[in-house]
Amino acid sequence: MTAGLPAEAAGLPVGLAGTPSNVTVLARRRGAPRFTLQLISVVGGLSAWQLFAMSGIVPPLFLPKLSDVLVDLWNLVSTGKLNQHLLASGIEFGGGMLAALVVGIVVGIGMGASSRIDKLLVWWVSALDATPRIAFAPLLIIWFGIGLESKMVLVFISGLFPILLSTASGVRTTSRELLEMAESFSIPRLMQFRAIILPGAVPFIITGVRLGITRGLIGIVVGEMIASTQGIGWMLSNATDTFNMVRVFALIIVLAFVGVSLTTFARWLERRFDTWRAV
Amino acid sequence: MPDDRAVDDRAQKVIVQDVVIRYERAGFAVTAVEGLSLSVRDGEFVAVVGQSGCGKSTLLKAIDGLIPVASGYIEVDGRRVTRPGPTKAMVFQDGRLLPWRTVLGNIMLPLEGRGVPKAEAHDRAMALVERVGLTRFAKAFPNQLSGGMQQRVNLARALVVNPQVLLLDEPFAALDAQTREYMQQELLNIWERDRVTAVFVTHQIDEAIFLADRVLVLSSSPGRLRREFVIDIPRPRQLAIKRTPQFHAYEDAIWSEIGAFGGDTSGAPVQPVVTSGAVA
Repeated sequence: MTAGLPAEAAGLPVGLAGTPSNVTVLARRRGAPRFTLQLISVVGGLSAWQLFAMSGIVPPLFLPKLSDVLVDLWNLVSTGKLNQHLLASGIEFGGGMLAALVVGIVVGIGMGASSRIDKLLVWWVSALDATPRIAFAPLLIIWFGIGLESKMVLVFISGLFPILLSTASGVRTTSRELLEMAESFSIPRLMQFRAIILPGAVPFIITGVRLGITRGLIGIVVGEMIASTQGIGWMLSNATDTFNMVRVFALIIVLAFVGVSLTTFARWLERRFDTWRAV
Repeated sequence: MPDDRAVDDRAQKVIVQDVVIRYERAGFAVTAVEGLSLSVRDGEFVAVVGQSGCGKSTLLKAIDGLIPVASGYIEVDGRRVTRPGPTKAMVFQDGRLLPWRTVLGNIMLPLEGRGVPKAEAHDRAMALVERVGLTRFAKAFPNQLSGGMQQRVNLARALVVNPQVLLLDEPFAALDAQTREYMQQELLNIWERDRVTAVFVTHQIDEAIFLADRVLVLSSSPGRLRREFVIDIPRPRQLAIKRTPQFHAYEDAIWSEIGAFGGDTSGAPVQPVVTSGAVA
């Protein structure tokens, strides 16, 4: 190294090793009071619910006590009833999302990479994406019956389009400069795809998956509420039909929990595939 | 001032003959380079300078085979250039590293593209990582590196394929003045080992003189060969030579050559030449 030049001039990074730990410390310091606030918010809100319901201002049919809801939730869990229905919904959701992932990514890549495929499909994709997916529910029930299959298909078409469209735009936005670099080094087409186009599209794909998960969740609940023999949505509509408001609230809590878990998972996935983007 | 064509019996490695390059911009046909002829001998380091928009980067891409010539021809190693190939390797101005690959992974890319077995590619890339002084950062991602380090990776990625001709497109243009000088020295140190034929495009006159055996000055829009200067400074060179009278004489000569057609009638440098940086 030439003497007298500072480290920066030598092209060395400034504190590469030191930075991450500093960042964590800062985040932790700022995170602590925020967590307290979150706790206060949750406990306060739930207490207010309980107290308001106990006051008798509104009839329990409108707003049952939180304590009753929690007891019911516990009963649902301990008898295994919740498990059984959660499993049914899970199978529908899992099967539908898996199919949406595979088809969405494959077709999305095709549409992003080839303008011919894009032109062939773009009208169908745009029209179907713009149509509220729930409108297909009655149709799907006629076609596939009231069993798991109709809900699986509903989840599939709910999750498909966000995944497909983001994948296509991810492939389309591949940096021209990187492709020129690949061409300069005579990187074969297939490898350009694997090493440059796909990794570049991953953040887009995952954003699509996150959107798809949310839409799929809506699809499953509404699908089951319309016609089915099991699942969380079915329990929900059953409880509503019998004015079992305690049960309705218990199920809503379950759905909120599932929704938050899935979104958290998607965020984790996003970060997991995005390490190179992190500062 | 040594300004004659040196008698040299080394083989012609790059031949550019009566080349015209046109491209389309916003619907208009632009002639970037017209009637350009030049040649580079085996093991020679040639710098191409000229004002922005004189087509020097376009010329480099044409030598690489990334863009076609409208007429004339380009030969590398005795073969007509029609597309990029294994004899040439480009160092890009803007890095063009894959952000999702590590330093090592980026350098392995061209080897993987040629079907070199993984283990061999790894070893060859690692050797280059060491050669450009990035051993500690082999597993770092590009966004964790400074601009200077990114350009080392860029250089290593080009060298790893053992090219016959190294093409460098203003690789240090985006760096600050100090880092740029440091990288110029590093480049020469690395180049000294194999002395691979190099064509270096830049708009920095002092950079061109410091690095090259010969500096070609292009006129602008369209680019033509204006004049060439043989840089008769012995190698290996150190940054200190930038402060010698001989170096300044080259600078003045090239600046006045550019000033003579660049619209600046005073003949003085259009911008100050960076030579005052801290140099050991």
